[in-house]
Amino acid sequence: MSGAAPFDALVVGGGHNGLVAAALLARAGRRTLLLEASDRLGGMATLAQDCGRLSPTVVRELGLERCGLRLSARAPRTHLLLGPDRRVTIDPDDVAATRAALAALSPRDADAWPGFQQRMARLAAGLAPFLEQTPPRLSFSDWRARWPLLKLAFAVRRMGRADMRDLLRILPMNVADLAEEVFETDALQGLVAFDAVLGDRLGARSPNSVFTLMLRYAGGAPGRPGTPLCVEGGASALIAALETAARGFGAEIRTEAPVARILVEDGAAAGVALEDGTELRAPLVLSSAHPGATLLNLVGPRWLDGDFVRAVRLARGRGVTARLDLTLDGPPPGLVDAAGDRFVHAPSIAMVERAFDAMKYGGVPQDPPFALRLAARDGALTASALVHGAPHDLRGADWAEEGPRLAARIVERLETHWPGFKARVTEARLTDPAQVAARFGAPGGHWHHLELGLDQAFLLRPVPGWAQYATPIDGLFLCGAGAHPGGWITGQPGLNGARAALAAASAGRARAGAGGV
Amino acid sequence: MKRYDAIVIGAGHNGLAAAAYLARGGADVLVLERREAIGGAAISEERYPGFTYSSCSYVCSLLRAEIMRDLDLPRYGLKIIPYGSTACLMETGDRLALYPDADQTRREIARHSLRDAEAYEDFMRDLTRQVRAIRPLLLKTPPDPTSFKWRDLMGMKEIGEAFGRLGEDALYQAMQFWTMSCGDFLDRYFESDVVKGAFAGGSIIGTALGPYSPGSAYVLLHHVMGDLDGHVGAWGFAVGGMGAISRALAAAAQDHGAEIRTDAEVSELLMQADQVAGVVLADGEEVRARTVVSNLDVKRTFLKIAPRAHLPDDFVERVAAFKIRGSSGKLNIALDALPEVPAIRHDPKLMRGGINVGDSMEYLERAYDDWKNGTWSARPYLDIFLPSTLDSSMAPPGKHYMSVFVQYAPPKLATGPWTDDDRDAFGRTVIETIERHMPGFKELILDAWVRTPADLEDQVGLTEGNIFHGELTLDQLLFNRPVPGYAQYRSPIRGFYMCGSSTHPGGGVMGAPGANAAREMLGDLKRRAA
Repeated sequence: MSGAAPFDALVVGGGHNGLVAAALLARAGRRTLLLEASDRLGGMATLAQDCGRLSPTVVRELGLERCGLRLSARAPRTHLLLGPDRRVTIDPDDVAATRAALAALSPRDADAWPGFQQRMARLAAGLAPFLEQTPPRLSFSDWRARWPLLKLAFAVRRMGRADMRDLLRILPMNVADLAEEVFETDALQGLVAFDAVLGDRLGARSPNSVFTLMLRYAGGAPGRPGTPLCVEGGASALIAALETAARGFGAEIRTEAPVARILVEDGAAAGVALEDGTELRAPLVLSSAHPGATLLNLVGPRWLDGDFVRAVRLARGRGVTARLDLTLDGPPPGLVDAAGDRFVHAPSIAMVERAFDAMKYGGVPQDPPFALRLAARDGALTASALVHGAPHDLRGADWAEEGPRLAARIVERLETHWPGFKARVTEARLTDPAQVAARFGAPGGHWHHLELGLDQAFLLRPVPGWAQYATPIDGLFLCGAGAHPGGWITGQPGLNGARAALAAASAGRARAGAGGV
Repeated sequence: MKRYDAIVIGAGHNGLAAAAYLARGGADVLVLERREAIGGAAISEERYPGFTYSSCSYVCSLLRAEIMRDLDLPRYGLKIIPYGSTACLMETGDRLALYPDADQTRREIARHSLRDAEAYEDFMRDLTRQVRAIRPLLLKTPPDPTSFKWRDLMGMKEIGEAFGRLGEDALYQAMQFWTMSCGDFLDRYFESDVVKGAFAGGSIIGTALGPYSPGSAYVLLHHVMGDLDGHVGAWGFAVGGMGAISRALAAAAQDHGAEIRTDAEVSELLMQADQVAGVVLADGEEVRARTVVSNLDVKRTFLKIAPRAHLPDDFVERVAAFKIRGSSGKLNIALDALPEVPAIRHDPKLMRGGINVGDSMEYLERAYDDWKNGTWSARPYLDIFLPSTLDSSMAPPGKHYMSVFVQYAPPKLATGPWTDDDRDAFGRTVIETIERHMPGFKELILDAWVRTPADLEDQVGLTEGNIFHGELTLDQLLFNRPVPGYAQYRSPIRGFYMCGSSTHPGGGVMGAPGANAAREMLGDLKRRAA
């Protein structure tokens, strides 16, 4: 590459994964420039309610706590909304109170709850080697290719026989069956089902939904298996810390710099062209954008072979999740110190499934399940809800009309749970998948860029055979949620993507060096 | 008092296959059947004078060629007539027919979509490749992936090699295939609703999954497994109905010295310390044996017959949680004449194959929604055959026997257990659905025997009426079937085995569970003798 390139690496997209990748590249001494299309960093992470699944490795590697990231020891409480002023509170930090609260529903379930949490955490820990590492290639050609696969097989075996059997059995199951095996009350079954399907195009009775449930227990707080890691200040604090880290390592960050094209020369990435025509050159390009947007729009099919293009097109990613933002002019009645808490409306498996049944035909459910969080900001109280009820592919209607209707229905639903809530709402704004798609350049508007089913996980993510962050274009790497291990603000795709790029770059350099001798 | 080497509980096709293999291996075998006739769900019955109904299972789809050969079944009168085509009837009055001849099928698909006609070849190639990898595993005992025994390690290696031969790309495809939905899989190849609908039928038969439920792609594979066998007769009708398969298996078993007793219901196991010693019949008679194998589904076997005191708690829990979900009904209809089917009038040969109702993914998925809501499908998927068009022994001259497989019907309704009125209403739904596609059909009905999942449970002994003795989902396949750690046909009780479709590789009148269980038992018997 000519000495003219002022950068070693360009990172497309300033979401959390892009920032993680930029920080890691800069830390490794690469002159790195991150390009964000909008006027602020954060990308889709700004829609998230928390960053409970943030990978402790990312926190450690980038020294985020030195950059102002404050981890809270307290895990968020979950309140199940069960009817007018009827709530059951699950507090991970108060086992006795949780037990008493659940015993009021069912003594059997109160007994089962802690065991279920531990079981999920244990199994998720068994999955950890799969989630943290770059997936190996599925090749048995020689021992070097077989070794990483054998290591993974041993990692599973280390779980012990009983857990391994449990994992192999329940991983492909549907969450409704599992929840019914363990709990008898609708309320707990509904909560578990909702936690499993939120963010994905799944119903409670869709097989594979135990896998998505388990992902919620992966990562999180070190030393407290299965407990979410709480970032004080939420996603915006995380983004600020990542920005500080990246800049601290010397990365340059430009906002309002939308990338129009990824430049390809001789089948290798050569840089990017911005929408204003500026060309920036670098031998490494990393994209945290949606894989389809990256490969089909920014690169273009003419550089790729037909089968690969087809595989990218077929990757499933039609979102079903919406975010509702509510401004309140005061605390809803009866509310004491609930900022940061989660309020879940998912009273049964049947209602979670009904919502999915409406969505699979492109309809908007009458009564979708949702999780609400309250936050105090600058003296004002806001609430946000993540709603499992907004199909991107709406049939015979459009979101401009359906969005406000859905928002109104959710506010009405909150009023039934919480008389007096509605009067406090001064503004309601719904971000539907169509807006997510437009605003973040993610076709389909899916929360995780691509659906997180077993058929699109690990070796198969984003497309089969390309799970190692590399692409058919030399020097171009993926580092966003569309790559393994997917969404939920783990930072892991950014970390692994940057590592893959660094390894490829130093291998290339070594090869070039050897060739020169 | 006589002591047998092995007692087989239940004379279904797997029990009979096990008995035949055991007897052929030199064991002294007794088969005990609760009903007055053998066959279980592979049975021919004359319920209306002059007509032979294949009253439960209706096509011989997956019976393993190896078993045909090993037991020399043609010698015992088993004759299978291949049928070739499947016609999917459309709501518009058109149809999509799939023929044994790929070119003819391609031309037919091209009437609906040129692009899909081109994709058909890729689709069949990919499907065939996956089937080739799985097929050798059917007649193998699943290895235990958590075990370090030499035999299990070699078994895992063998599976690894079977899939390893696929090559890297096909291997990724296999991983997707085992986890994705049939709908997503078909979306990869086809655009036309009816093309997808016609292929998706195979992904829902007998299962409580919809075509867009992840995991249903495997069920599709399970159903095409026989189809692609390449052996004549892999898919077809047994002459004389499905009972002919059971009769041939029974004759083979008896020829090798096995005894078969009907009207002999087993009520419990006879134990000696922690080991099985025989069975006790409902009338109190005790029959002794070194080993006992149950052809009943895993729930009946361990929740009704096996002594609870001898079973570990977690095993019983797993058995209770094993998913056996009824989702299918069956109509056997005697017709005064061959019905008119306008959509396939142009090609009378199509009357001799499968005739399906359910022409799009949405049709099938909505049929499934009804099941989830605890009712039978208002617009059901139907798999219709007229066996009498190929085998004149099934009905009097000029008259016809129609077998109608119905998907979906729940084992219990949201309103409570099935009543006679419910059964009538269910039957009417099916008959009206047929009438829509075959005008005048209703006038031809001489007898219509409607069977709900509850009837299949009561009369045939299938728990919840599930035709596969348990869902074919990934959590219940291979080493997970029926219970992790007990996939090798043995149970927690020494000397007590299972050979029904609850075990690997599952249902579909394959005979493979019976053959596999017999192989394990013969090995154990030999070891114990030595």
